Amino acid sequence: MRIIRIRRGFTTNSSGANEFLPTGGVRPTVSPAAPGPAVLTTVQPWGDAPSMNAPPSNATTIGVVSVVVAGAFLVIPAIRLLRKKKEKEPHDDDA
Amino acid sequence: MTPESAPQPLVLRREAFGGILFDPLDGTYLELDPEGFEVVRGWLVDGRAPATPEEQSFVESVHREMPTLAAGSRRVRARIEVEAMAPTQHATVLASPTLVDLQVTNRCTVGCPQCYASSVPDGEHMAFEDAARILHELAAAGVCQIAIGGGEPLLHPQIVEIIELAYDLGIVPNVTTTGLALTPRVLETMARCCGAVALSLEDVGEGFAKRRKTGAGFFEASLEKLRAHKIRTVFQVTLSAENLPRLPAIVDYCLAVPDLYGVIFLAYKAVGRGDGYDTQLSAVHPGELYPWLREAFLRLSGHTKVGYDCCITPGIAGIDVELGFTDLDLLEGCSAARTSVGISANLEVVPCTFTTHLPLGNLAQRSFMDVWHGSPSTGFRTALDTQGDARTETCSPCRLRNSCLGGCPVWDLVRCTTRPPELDG
Repeated sequence: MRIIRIRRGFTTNSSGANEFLPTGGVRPTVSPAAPGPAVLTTVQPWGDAPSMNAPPSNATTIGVVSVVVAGAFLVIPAIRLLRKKKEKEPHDDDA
Repeated sequence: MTPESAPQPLVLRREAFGGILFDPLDGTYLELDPEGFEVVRGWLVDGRAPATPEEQSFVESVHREMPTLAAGSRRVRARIEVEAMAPTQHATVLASPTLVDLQVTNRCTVGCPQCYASSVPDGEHMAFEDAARILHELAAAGVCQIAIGGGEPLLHPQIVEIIELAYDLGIVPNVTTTGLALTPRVLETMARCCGAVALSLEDVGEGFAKRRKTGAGFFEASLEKLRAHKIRTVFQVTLSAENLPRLPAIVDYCLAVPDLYGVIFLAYKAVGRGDGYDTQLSAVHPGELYPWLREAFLRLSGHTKVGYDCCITPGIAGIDVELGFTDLDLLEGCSAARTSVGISANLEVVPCTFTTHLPLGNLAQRSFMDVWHGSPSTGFRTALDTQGDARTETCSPCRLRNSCLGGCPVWDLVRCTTRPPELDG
């Protein structure tokens, strides 16, 4: 059992779920220290999670739109890669 | 609401890799492996004492990394029964985001020329009823923090109520503002509820007013108001090819501000009204960009927290080694639709606030979790994964290839750093 990752701090930025440079990294978690007592006394569960399989409302319309949008997501990076590949070819030739 | 006697509850969430423990008191976030998550779950939710010396030691290590646990009796928001996302090859995708950017308005009276949101004086506010419904959905999804923005979010007539509701639901509200409408009531609410509040700073001295129409004097007055109320204050520094040479002066200014919570560096995006105002950092040779950023990070790291937006990751590869971090997987790439997401004032969910042309679904018609798990979101993740596949060859020598993810999947924001060989360890 181990802690995989640690992040610290409050995030004000839209594209920064990992905003601050951490002060530590992956750490071994088994230490010889004696455990401290648990201090958490009150439980406030969410209850059941929403179903991930629930169909969306307006499923047909959204489905069609989704396919189009998803296709766009695939095309955009593909175009970028093709452009970069074209840019890279002269460089490769030089090498 | 009496936050002093009832701090926000801890967040405990199951994920495909194990789970998450988040403390709203200081923003500490731990990712746990499956065995560790079960131990913490038994300890915090079921009140079960660690059964073995190994479990006891693990609980002790969690205490060490999250010392606020010892502050007293704490409640727990536990989301245990979560169906994990379909695995992706390169990018970890959470069962729900930990951070949501909430654009509560598109109204702003300042008219800064580089505004990526194209905010205008008659911009629309998100209705409070919609904001409240969304916040309840985010709380149910286990979202840890929101970044409230705009427009100028403080111009929203119910901004105090929005901040307080987020706090009461257990979500940490953070705010980015120009400083407009920092009224005593707003300041008191921020001091009581907000994790941090950000001011944007793209230049100092005479250059400030060219980018921020409010002017440097107004900026400093806003900063003093925040400091007087002991509000954790962050400077967000958006970097472009044009203001990169101003970075040392910006750092000088930051170093002179006491008690600064952090400085965040962001990559300029040519979107909105800002399209064409500046030039993206991709125009700067990485061999030139990295020394600028390295110098800034090193100078600031002894003074305050230093951060970055995930868009800039390829440009800072190696900084983790220079700053002495031991984990090779700390510099993470694009978080859009993986661990974070944006919500526009018109209720459109977007991968991030810079990609409003790539809507994932509208919360007027669909639930938040339906949008998160829906096909447009999945398509965006697939594209990010496809990019990871395509970059396997070019990125294969890099130790960060599985975390950097090759840069922004939408905009060509920053070129990969040419790192000195000794940094690759």
